[in-house]
Amino acid sequence: MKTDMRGGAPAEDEATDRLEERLAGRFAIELGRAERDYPALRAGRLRTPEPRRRGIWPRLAVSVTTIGVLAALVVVGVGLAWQPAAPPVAPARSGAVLGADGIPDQIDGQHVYRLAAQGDWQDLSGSFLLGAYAVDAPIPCAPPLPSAQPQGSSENAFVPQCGTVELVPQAQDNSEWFFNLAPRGLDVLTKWLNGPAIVMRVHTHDPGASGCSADQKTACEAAVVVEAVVWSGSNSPSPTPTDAVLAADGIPAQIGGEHVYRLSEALPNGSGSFLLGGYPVNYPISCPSARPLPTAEADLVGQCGGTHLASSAGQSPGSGLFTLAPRGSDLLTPWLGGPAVVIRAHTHDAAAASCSADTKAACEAAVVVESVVWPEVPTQIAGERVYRAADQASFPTSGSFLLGGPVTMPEFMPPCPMPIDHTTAENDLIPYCYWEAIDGIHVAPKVDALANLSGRIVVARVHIGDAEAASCPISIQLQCKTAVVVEEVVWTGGAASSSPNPNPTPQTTPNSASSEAIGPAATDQIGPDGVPITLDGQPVYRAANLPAKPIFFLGGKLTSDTACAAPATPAAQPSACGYWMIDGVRAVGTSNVVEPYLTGQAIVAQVEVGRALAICPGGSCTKDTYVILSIVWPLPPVATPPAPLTP
Amino acid sequence: MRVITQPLDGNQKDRAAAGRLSRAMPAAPTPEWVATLHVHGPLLLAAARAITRDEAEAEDLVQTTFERALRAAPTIRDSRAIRAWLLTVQTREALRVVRRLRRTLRLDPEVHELPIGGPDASESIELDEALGRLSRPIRAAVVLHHMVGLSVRETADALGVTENTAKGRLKTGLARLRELLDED
Repeated sequence: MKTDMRGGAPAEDEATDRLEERLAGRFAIELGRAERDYPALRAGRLRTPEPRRRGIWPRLAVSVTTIGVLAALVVVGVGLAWQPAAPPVAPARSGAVLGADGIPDQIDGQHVYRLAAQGDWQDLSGSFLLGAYAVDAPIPCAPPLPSAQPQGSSENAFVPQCGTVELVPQAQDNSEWFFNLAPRGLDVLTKWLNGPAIVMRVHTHDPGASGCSADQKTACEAAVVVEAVVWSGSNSPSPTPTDAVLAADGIPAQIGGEHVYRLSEALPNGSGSFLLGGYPVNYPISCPSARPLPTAEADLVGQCGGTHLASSAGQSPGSGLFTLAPRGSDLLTPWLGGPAVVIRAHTHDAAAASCSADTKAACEAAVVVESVVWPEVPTQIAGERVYRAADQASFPTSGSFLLGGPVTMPEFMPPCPMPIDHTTAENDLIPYCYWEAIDGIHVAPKVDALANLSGRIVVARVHIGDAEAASCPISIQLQCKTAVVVEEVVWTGGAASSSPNPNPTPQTTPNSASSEAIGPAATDQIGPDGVPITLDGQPVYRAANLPAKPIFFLGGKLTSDTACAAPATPAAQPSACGYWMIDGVRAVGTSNVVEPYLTGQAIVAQVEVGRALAICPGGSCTKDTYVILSIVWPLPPVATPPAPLTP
Repeated sequence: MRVITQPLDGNQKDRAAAGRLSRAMPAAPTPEWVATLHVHGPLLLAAARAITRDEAEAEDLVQTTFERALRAAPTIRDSRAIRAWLLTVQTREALRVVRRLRRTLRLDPEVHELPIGGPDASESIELDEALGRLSRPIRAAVVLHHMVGLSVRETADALGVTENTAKGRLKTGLARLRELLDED
C-alpha cells in the first residue's frame, strides 16, 4: 500500500514498504474474520429498530379515541346547560378540555380550581392550579388599617394590596372581583392583564408569611402567591419561554419580556422575585465538622459546600462561583453539571428576619431558588405523560414510561478496580464509580443510550423492575428492582449532537496546547532533567507551575501511586490501583494511554483538568482532577541502520 | 409548560404540530440506507477490533456506530464517503476519553484472538503484539491509514486532528512498529 508519507532514506522507505505490506496482509486476515463473524453480529445486535411512528400510532389511536369520547361527553354536558349567549366550547390549543368559562378543567391530570371554589383550595398545602382572568381595573380601596408595627418585608411581600392586579372568574365579568393576591409574584401576570383566560400555579400559606406581624398574619397566610402561568387561552404571548433567544453565554437574555440577570450584575434589592441565569455546579470539598445552626441561618446561609452557579460552562473551581441558599437549592440537583438554567429566585427572604445580628446581612442577601423556569422539559409527548424525578414515588412498576430531564454525568473518573465480587446483574443495574443521570436519577449502566447527550434535555423511554433484578443478591434486590433502565431516547433538546456530519472538518481545540505535538521542534528548549521546556512551541508545565488552563502539557518523571490498597487479585498491575503521577502531580490515566514501559521515564503528557467527583476509591476527592489524554513525548528512538562495513 | 400532542381533529394547526413532533423524532431509516450500512459492517468490525483490541468493546462500537448511522440523514451518495464517515463516527467514539475510562482497568493481561494456523501465523502474532504496544490514538491512525486504506486527510478527520498531527502520529507509529519488529 502506497502512502503519502515519503521522504526518508531509501533503506527507511524499503522498511516502510515492507511494514505496510505486513499491515495490509494482517488486516486482510482480520477483514476475512470480520466478514465471517458479521452475520451473527448483525442478527444479534444490529437489528434495524422498528420505525417509531408505527409504535406510536397504535397508542395514539387509543389516546385519540379516549380524548374524543371525553370531548364528546363535555360537549354534550355543556349543550344541556346551553345559554344562548355563552360561547361554544372548543378544544384549546394544547388539547385541554375547556369549561364554559373558557378555562380548562384539568391540565395534565391536575384539577384546575376556580375562584368561586375558594373553600376547596384556600387551605391546600403545596401548589395547585387556579384558573381565572387577570385584570388591572382599580377599584376604590379602603385605606389600610393602622398597624401597631411598621410594615416589614414580609408584609410587603404577602399582604394583598388592593387597586393593583385582580382576578375575575369570567371574561368581561366585573361582578366578582378577587384581589387576595400576594404582591410577590404579581409581576408574572403583567402581560396577561385584560387578556385571555389563564391557569396559574399558585399556593397559599407561604412559609414567608410566618414573618408577618401578628395582626397581619391571617392576611399573609391566606394570600395567594402566583408562581407561574402554565396555560393561556391564546397563542400569543406564549407563557412558555420556548422562544427564548440565547445570549453569547448560552443563557436567554430575557424570558417573556422579563430580564434574566447574570451573576455579574447587581441583583434586584426588592422583595419580589427575579430571573437569574447560570450553570449549576456542585464541587464537593472537604468540610469541617458542621456545627448546628439556627433554622434561618441553615436555610439561607449554610456552612460549607453546597450548590453554586457559574457564569459559563466548565468554569473552574475557585474562580468566583455564586453560592445559593441551601433552601430551594435541591431544585437544581437534576441540573448539576448540566446545561445552563434560568431560575426564579428572590433575596430578602422572610426567614432572614430571624437571623442573628452577625449573619443578618448574609441572610438578607441569600439567593433562594423558587423554581427552574428554563430550559423546559416536555410534560407530554404524543399524549403520554413525561415523568420527572419528583414523580419517582409514582413511577409505573410495570411496562415502560417516559422520563424527562437534563442528562448529566461526570466528565472523568479515576481508575476504579474492577469489582470482582459483583454479579453481572449488579454490574448491569447499579452504577459503580461512574454514572449517567436523567433529571438527577442515575440510570442502569446496562444500556449506554446517553452517550454524547451530556448537558442536553431528553425524554427517554425507561422501565424499572428489570427482569435481571431477580439475579441480584438479596441484600440489594430492592436497589436492583428500582433501577431505571433506559430503553431508548425518544426526544432531545438543547445543543447539537457531537456526532460528525458526513463531511467532517478538522476540529480545533479551544486552548493553547495543540492536541498532539510531534516532538521537540528545532526551537524547543530542553530542561536540565531532559524534559522539554517547550514542545512544538507550546509550554510544558511542571508541578511547580501548574497553569489555570483546561488542557496543557505536563512534563516530568512518570511514576505510579501505589499508596492505595492492593486489589484482591495478585495478578493486578500497579496501574489497576491508584493514580499515575507526573512530576509528582497525581493524574488519571488508563493502560490504553499510559503504557507501563514508560514508568520511571521522563515524559510529557497532554492533560485535561476535570471536575472533582463525589465518589472516589479510598474516599478522597480533590477539586481538580488531571486526566492524561495522551503521551506526546518522548518519541520512540528510530532504529538507525548499522554503519557500512569498511573493507 | 410545553405540551407536545398528537393531532386530534386533523386541522391544519394540529397537523403542523404533528409535523414538528415527527421532525423532533428521527425518521425511520430506509431499507436502502440500512443495506448500505451493512455493506460496510465487516470493515467497521475489523477496524474496531484492530483499534480496541477487545472483542466486546469492538462489538459495542460497531453497534453504536450503526445506531447513529441509522439516525443520520442518508445524504451521502458516494460510497467511499460513507465508509470514511462511518469510520470517523466509530473512531471518535473509540477515542473518547470518558468511554475509555469507563472500561475499567483489567486485572489480567489482554488476551487477543489470532487466526489459527497458516504460514504467517507467527508473523501475525508478532505484528499483533507490536500493534498492541502502541497507544490507542497512534494505533488508530496506523489502522485507518495503513490497514483500512483511508487517506491521510480522511485519517485526520476521523481522529479529529489536523493533517500534520495525523502525519506525525503515522510517522511515530511506523517508527515504533519498526523498532518493535526489528526491521532493518
